[in-house]
Amino acid sequence: MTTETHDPIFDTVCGVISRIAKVPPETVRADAPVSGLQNVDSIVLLEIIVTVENELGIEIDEEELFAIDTVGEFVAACRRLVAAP
Amino acid sequence: MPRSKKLLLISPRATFFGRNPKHQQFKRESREFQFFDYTWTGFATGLIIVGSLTPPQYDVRYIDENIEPVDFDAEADLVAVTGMTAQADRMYEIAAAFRARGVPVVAGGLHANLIPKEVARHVDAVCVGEAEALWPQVLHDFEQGELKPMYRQRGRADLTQAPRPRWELAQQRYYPSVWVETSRGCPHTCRFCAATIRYRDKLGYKTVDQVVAEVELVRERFDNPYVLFSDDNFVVDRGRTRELLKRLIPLGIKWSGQSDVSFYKDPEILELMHDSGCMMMLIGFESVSTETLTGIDERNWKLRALGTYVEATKAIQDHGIGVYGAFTLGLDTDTKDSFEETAAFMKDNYLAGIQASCVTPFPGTPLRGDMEREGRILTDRPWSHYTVFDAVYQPRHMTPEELEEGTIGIYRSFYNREFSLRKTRHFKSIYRNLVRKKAERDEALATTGRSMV
Repeated sequence: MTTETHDPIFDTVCGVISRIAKVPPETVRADAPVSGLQNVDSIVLLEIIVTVENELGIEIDEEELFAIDTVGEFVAACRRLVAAP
Repeated sequence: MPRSKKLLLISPRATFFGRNPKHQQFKRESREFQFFDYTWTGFATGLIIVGSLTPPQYDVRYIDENIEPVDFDAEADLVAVTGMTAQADRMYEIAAAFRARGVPVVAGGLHANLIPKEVARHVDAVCVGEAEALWPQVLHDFEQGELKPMYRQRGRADLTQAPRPRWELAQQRYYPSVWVETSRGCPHTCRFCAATIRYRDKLGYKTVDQVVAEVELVRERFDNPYVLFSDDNFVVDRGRTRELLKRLIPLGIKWSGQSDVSFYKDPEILELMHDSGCMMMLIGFESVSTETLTGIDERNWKLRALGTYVEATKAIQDHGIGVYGAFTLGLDTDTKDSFEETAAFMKDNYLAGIQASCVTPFPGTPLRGDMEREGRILTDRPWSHYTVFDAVYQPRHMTPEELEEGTIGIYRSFYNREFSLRKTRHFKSIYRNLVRKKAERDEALATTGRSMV
């Protein structure tokens, strides 16, 4: 977990989740299931996704979203899109 | 020092979705449905209120049988049970077990209010009305060894004087959501509605200060709770709603509630709802059929509102508030085509979530009277089948099995991967707009110190 907390993409995702779900950032863990995050229902999740997309300048395909189970997988998907040409 | 009297508050177990195998299979298999279903799970509010009305010399324990088993050997001086009609059969079993040990049992809640004479045959005392008006007298009589079989409320309880619910009784268990009540009652008089039947004459409100203090307490006790406002109709007095929403904004909670559709016309309320953390509003649309909505309530309010459903859904959802549409199927004008028409409305308008229930003739409702006169109640279905997802009467234009199959068909067509993808695209475009607007607003505020109009 230590390495991920210094990852700027993880930090962005974690910051957005924390801000929108109104939970302390330290409670957002990479292995947490996205559908089980505190204060996050399907509508909140969409607000989180769109905000992350805006902040990172990416767009995540809906099909890809459905394959994401954990915060870590969400971060990995963001990382791939940020790195893509 | 005298021993504390032990009071057990018990919420009986029940099935909160259809008992029939098709509903159960769908619930097990649909990940999309499970996500929605989970959020709306909470504790028995009435018992938490009873706890708050019980003096400190009582040792009070709250047991939710849907989470943990009831220990029938537990030390107890008095037991209070509550429940909706679907919980009634189990409520009677629990009462019988404690009464067999000589422990008196008091019943309250929705089912006891609807059919008190039947409930009275299974318990020592029945409370018909609001706990605030009755529970102190019940405890007084219990202490004197003079419990009466029936306690009936005269006049409405003054909610502004109600103590805050004793949430700590439920705090040790995990609930995804915490119920908070700001008002009781609904101005509409739908023929099948059991929830508001006792409060039709007058709505009761807590003060805004009271509600804010309660939400603050919930925040302290439950660690970032998802608040569900349990009001039968959250937006009736719009002035009060505006004031409450403004006060909720700094509290930074996420919340959902239920209301009729009329608030969509008020852009200020919509914005305040979004800003105060409203995620979803459950709206009782009931039907998309003119014939079915005709006469569904005494003033034909819902029939007149039907023409606004599309516009209302769009206005509400465009403000980032999901619409959880509640529909009831199987009324006498409904046919087998009604299922497809209802599903088409839900999907064409990208409702965030849905409830499609079988109309249920709850005891005490006008609908029950009609069904009994016509001999259409399925008498072999016990109360435990009154889940609102199981057919318990003979519909006019279909069989009971077709009614159950039709409603689960709506669920299948809505809660599936393909439609969830379409819905996600739709809501993402809404949120892109909202996030962009918010960024513009924040930027304007940062550069000019003044918020954009």
